[in-house]
Amino acid sequence: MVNKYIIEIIPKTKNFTSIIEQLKHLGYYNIEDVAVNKIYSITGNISKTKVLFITKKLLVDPIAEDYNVKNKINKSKYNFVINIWYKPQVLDIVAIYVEKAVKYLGLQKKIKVRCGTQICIKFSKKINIKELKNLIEKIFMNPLIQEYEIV
Amino acid sequence: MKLFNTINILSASDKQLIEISKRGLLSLSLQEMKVIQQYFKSKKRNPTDCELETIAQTWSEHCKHKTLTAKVKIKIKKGKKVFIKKYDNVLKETIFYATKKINHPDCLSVFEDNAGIVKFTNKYAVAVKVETHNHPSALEPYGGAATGIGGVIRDIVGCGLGAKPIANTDVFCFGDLEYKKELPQGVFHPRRIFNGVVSGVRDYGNRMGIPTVNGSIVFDNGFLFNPLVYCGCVGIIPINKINKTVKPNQYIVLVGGKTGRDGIHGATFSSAALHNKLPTSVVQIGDPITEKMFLDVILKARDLGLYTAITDCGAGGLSSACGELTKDCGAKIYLEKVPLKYKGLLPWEIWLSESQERMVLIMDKHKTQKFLQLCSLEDVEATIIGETTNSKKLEVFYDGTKVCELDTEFLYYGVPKLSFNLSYTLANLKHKNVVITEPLEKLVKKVISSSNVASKEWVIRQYDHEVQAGTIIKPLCGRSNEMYSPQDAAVIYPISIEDIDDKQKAISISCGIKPSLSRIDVVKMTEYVIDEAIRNNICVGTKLEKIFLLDNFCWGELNKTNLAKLYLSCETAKNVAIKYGTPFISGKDSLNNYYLLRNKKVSIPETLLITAVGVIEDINNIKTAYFKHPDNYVFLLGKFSYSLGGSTLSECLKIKNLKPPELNINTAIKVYKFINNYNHYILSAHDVSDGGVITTISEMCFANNLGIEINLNTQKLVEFLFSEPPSCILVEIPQDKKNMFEQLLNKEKIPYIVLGQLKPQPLINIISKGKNKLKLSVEEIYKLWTSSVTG
Amino acid sequence: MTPTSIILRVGGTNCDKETVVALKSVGFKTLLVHINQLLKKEVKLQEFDLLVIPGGFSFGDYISAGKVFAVEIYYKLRKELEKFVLDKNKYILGICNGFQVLVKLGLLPKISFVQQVTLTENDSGRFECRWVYLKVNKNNPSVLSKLPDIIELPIAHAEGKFVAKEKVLQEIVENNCIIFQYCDKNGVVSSNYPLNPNGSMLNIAGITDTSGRIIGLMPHPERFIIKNQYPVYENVKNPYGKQFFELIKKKIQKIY
Repeated sequence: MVNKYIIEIIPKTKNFTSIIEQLKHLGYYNIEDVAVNKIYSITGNISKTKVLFITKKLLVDPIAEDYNVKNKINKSKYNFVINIWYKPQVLDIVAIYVEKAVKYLGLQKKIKVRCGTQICIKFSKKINIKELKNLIEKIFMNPLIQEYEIV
Repeated sequence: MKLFNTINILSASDKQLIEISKRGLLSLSLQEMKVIQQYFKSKKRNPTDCELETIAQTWSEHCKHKTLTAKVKIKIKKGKKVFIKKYDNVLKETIFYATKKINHPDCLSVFEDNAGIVKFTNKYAVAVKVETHNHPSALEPYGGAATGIGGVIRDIVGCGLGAKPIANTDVFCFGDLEYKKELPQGVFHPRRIFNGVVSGVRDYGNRMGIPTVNGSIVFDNGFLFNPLVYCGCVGIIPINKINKTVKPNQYIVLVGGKTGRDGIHGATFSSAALHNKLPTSVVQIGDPITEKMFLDVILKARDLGLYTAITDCGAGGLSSACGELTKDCGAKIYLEKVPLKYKGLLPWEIWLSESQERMVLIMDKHKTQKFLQLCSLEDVEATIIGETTNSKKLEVFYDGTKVCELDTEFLYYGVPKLSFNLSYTLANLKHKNVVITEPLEKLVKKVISSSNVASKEWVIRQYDHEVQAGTIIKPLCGRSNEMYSPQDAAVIYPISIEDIDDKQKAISISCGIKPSLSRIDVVKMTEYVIDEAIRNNICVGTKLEKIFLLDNFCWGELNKTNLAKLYLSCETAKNVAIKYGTPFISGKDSLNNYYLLRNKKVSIPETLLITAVGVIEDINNIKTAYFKHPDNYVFLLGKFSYSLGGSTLSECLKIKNLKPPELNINTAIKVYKFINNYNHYILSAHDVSDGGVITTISEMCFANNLGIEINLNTQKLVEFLFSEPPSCILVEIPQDKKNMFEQLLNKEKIPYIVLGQLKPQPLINIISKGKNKLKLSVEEIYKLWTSSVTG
Repeated sequence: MTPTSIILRVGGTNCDKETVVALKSVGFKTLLVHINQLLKKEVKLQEFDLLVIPGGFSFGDYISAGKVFAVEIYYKLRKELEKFVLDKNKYILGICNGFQVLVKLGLLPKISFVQQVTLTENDSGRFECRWVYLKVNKNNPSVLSKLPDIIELPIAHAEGKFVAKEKVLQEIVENNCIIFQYCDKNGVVSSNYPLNPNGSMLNIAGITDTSGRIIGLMPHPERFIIKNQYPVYENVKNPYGKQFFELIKKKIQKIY
């Protein structure tokens, strides 16, 4: 039975004010808070226990990061959470290395890994979907090689 | 799966031929399509898609330099005079001709291989290549720039039998970082492109373990829609490993990454206009670790003599790589053997794919097993994909079915020649007097903080410029957490190459670029950038007769005017190089850098980048560009030209149409030779360039926190401080040698100005005709200089 | 006796050649080895006095710096490495990426094979390449405590910020495991950027284990073995990198 898991890697203490500054430089003033997390998706005939094992042994840094093997995202702090992935035909280097490293852990199962970026934004003023899409496509991702989902 | 399609060109009309080229994104002209039609008529059959694609890639501008090798007649008007210049092949009769005429004994391989190769020591040579990756960087700044650097590194790994990369250079041209107006759909803001490109080149170069030691960043709104990304790489190769040999009956081996649909039509795409409906495949994403891994293995295999030829898989993919290497004998390629990223690729896609990080090697059959074992030991993928033949044909198969067969003679030498009849009127600006009323201090602050003059420390510190432990003159020199002075050229001492036979020698790398001059006069721009690259090398102590040049032309839309300017620039480059005695060893061009804005073509300003690489005899005689000691004297050597044309100040104040300073090459040569001969008197040297004399002085004060009292006798103080004349260098002479130095200058009739004496207090004090004109705090200037350019 | 050193590399390691040159320059006999050679038993770790994991981007630093290399070593080489590490005559040096590997492997600050501290993204969010001043801890158990009070070396990294839980930090301080801290030119330890280029807790640039035989540091000693490598090299200085390797050599030779 094929399962899909999304793993969020959240840095414990990280300052994102530089990103808010950069956005101001580019003309976006209504952003109150922003966080950037790493995300991995693992698809395969694999149990949640094994996925947790991979997460703890490989994907997360036990001192500097927290993780969340996805069911629900804690949305309360932010208005929007956007997951950005490379398009399927584009080389996803980190994913390839995760697939390699999983073999070192002794796991022989064939899994498909994708690596992406999660942007969590809180706006100071209300913003419509069109403006949000504009912001995402102009600043956070490149529609030529990436795709995204607003979670 | 249908392995190939047959394209009916035998019975196609002219209109249909153009349609076929357009539909297939082949970028082939009608003239070319007709030549192809003739060829297949003689073969009595229609071509397959694979064959047409192969021809299109091989005959693309990127691979064949059709525009630069064209037959041209150009009528040049200068005032009332008219000259006519005729060329059968512009490149051959200008750039190549200069190198041939100079006939420098150290040129070992020029314009033949993937890189230019010159002698370094008795045992080793230096290989240099500079490439551009403009269109992809506009679409995907990070990925495009990363693959740009990956590609040029592969050129070095694929030159001769493989050179070891020891340094990278990067030159970028972007729009103004503070651009506030609306940008068309699909065009990224210059700040986003800037960040993406800097990061892309950084992540790739750092992972490859190659120090990025030299470069330049130009900010100009001419590059708003078309950023330029020049990536250069310098390598070291044993002299006995420079020659490739290919014989029939050898194996063709593919090494490196797997093949996918990436970058198909990369070579043809690079010469087409940008618009916003391009497919994902035009941009590739690179993996530097795969490249680093095969680099390690290839150098080992080279030293064991396991292969006889190598080249990189770049534009045109396997079709170019296999074809180029085997063009004098012939080859059979079996595409089903190529390791794929995913299933379902058609044969032509495998053949044309530009997936990154792949090299093609040719080796004797009995050595192949050992080579494959060496690769497997280090987890590098290597596969036999074909063999060389003596058929003089390029034959490509998939599972036994032939999908392509082309005569190598036709493929490589059959491209029809372009021909142009042009005319051009040379600029003839008269000198204009300018009155500037703004206070001097304000002008200095404006210029020193303008983006083309300000420190690029924010960028420089993101690149590991120390890896391989050989960077002796670093981009910024100074003590930790104090002020840093920028340097004119990087100097690399290859300490990590253990068996180097001359432990005194080093390599200097510098560049010259000034696209803003092209708006005034493309001839002056060409002269200026060649002189700039050379004088930067002279400043660190390289001898004029040991400097070698690379040319990289980035031009806009190829209309008749721009074409004329291109050829004029080549002619100028030839003349200047011959006079200086500095041969061109390699070059590249990127044409059609324009954007279609509401049906109007917006081109970049003509941009010629000259990279100068020098061989330094003794590492202990190099000079840095910061003042050493109070009480020493500072001289300006060279013929100074009091003209603000082309200067940063004129751009800041928006003063147009000023005549730029003249370059007198004979005087420049005298000055440079003088500096070379009396190098032992010189404690530091720095040239006058962007920002003028006041910038040069300020930059020299930073590292040791010194000041200077400058005593002048001029009415034109503004012109003196802010003009940017070529071939002028400031030098620091020890106090007790000042008089002797002046005598030598007079004896050898070198034009000079004694600027003044260094002081321990960090103040720049300018006195003219006995009056105090300007007092600047070095620390205050430094603050402005370092804080202007950030991402 | 001539001390011997094995320099371990993998796909992405790139400071290996100059590390070999640096070790040779003080008299080590060196062997540069790909991890596969160890795994295939072509080479035996036990035959060497010093194991060096040099700088670079092993496995691209993908996922996190040094993590995949540490995972590979943990799952494939653990027995041999454990034997090596517990031998009182053996030494391990991890430079930059090597330090990241040792930390993620759990060999620093103590030999536990469980990760106790980490080196994570620089506070500036960028790769930093610059020279730094380092204060040498004279009470550190390793031979490096014999270096001059203040030295200078270049750093070049994106993930050099030393982070640990309060309790672990206390232990490190109590056991004098710190060997280098970022400081100013007068030796005053500093957390100001860019004196401390990454925001490391306690301004830690390098640590050792309690025996002093396992050393990890972010700066690159192999990049300062001749005078000319110093940025303002007219001011003649003792190449601190050369002194660094010399001390290790003498310790192995039991001169110290």
